[in-house]
Amino acid sequence: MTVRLEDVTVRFGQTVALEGLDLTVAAGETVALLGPSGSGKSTALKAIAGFVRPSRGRIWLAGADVTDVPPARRGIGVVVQQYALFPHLRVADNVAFGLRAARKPKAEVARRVAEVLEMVGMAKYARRYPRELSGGQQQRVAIARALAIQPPVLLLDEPLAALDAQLRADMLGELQKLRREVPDVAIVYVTHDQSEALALADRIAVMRDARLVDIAPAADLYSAPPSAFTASFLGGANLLPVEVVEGGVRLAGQTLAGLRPQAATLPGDAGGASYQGAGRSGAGGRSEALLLCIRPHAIKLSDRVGEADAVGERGEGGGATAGDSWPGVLVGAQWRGASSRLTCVIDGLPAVSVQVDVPTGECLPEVGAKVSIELPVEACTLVAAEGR
Amino acid sequence: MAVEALSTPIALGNQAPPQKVSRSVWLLPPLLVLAGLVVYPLVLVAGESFTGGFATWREVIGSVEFRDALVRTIQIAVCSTIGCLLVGTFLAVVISFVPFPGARVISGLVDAMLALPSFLVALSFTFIYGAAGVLGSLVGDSGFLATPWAVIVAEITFYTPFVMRPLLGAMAQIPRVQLDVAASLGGGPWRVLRQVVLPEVKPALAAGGGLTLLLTLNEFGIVLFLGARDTTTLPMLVHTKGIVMFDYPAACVIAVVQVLLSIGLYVALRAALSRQGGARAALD
Repeated sequence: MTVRLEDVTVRFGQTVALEGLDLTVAAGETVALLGPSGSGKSTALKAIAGFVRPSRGRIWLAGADVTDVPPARRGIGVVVQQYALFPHLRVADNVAFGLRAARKPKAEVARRVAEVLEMVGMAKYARRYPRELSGGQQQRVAIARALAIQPPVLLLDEPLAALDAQLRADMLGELQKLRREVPDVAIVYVTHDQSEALALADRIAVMRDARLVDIAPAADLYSAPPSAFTASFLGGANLLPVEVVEGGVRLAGQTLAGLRPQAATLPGDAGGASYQGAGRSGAGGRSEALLLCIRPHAIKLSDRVGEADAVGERGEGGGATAGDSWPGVLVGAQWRGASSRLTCVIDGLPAVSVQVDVPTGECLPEVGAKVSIELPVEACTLVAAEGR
Repeated sequence: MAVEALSTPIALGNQAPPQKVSRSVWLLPPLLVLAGLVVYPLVLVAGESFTGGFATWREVIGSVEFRDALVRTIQIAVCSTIGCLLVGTFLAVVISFVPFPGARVISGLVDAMLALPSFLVALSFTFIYGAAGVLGSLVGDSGFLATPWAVIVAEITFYTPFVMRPLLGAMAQIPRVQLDVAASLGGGPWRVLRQVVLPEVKPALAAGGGLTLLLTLNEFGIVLFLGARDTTTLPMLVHTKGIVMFDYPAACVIAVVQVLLSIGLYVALRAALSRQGGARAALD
């Protein structure tokens, strides 16, 4: 393990910026710390870099405890959102800063500077000053400067947040390419943008309120989010309140067969036992504290014309004939280019809107039309509702 | 001068729109005040210096007394300024970048120091270094107060805040993250100071140093108060000639030299500062 954080807690006076973070990053692995602002992700990064000292916990770097080692002796590459290039030094001198601090021989400094500038495609700007470069170019120089010292760990703190959308997409591609050029470096990538995390990270650590919520490989977090917060923050899932009944879950009075909660997703310590007696579901026991999670693109929508209106109402198992469809109304539509984002309301669940993505080209129902909302059971997962 | 200021807009009056006239009218009072209170007395001083023709000038400029005072003035001003820059930079770096309780209080004290009169420092020096002072009573009268060093140390004490104030402002502008990144790259405190901090505060350093050089060149209160016999500066010489010896023409000659020295230095500083700014602007 190249980086290991053990119960790292950072307090500023009364404010807890980071609470009990355990995290390991292997050599060659990219871990994204994903979360809204104030979630503690940048603080975690600063703790690894040594810019803040943890109030509690230890930080290990390649097997050595570096908790009390100053940043200058950690040898970690750091890239920040504001680039933080030295304004009065030329690009080449900026990149050479770390090498000169390490008292490398002149020839080696020159060779290494040329090498990393070539790597980020900035070789022909070596004589420029930072203020003569665009934001994207400055960020490339900042990355080159961090990589010049051949760090075992590279920390990236919202490196693309200051760039505009098109440039951000380009730089994302550049970063993916760069990743392959430094295969042994452990990368910690702090971002609030899920698309950056999904594109770059091997594992994503979702953070909220100074705590780590979930950490798992990106694909796992997306397809089977372990918590309601992760489900909505990563990929914007629909979260629909359900009750557990025998053979499945009940949503808006209709049963979705074949979906069973995992023991882990159930709140409390009752585990699988809690939904055995869920026949008395209306009582509002803890079986209500579950949410059905489904991605907007997984929902299928169809016009409901001249269909029998009594489909599946109160259907206990017999309602399975209705498939996994719920009657509802389309209340809004936004065209987004490649797809349309439709907003529906399931009959009997007026407080919860359901987001559906429909690829452009498919014919769309009119806003206000009655629709049939199909929730394919294989695309559904259950998560515990937030206890707040 | 006032006539000139009046006649220009009147001559243009036929074609110029009425706002132009009213703007000149607004300019007039401050110009008159300036002319009456600043320019006129200086012209009188310059005129007085020529009452004896060039003879007075030749005599004063040629005197050993004058040349010694000129050299001493420049020596004291340059030494004090260098001292202020060193001490001021050190203190500003400590206050800005070394977190310690009370940094804000000290920063406030710097501002308060700017408001004090300079001779107060000289007075306090006599209490410390004088024959009856704290140090004086311990080691006897060392004669320190009579040397130019006393003046230099007093001026450093008093003028250091003039260097620190712009430096503290400039250092507050440096993003912390820049220093963090410099540290992460392996830069030790000395390297970060030399390669990152000092180049970025160079304009503030130049402004503070320039101001200090000007002020120390013209400092009178401290020198008079310490009253060192072998520390005669140009302002002291003006005072001695004019007030003590009633040799007005000679005093005026020295005063004119003093004014020319100050204006010359000021122009040179402006040029240096704007060249620095110009080089920066050209790169933008």
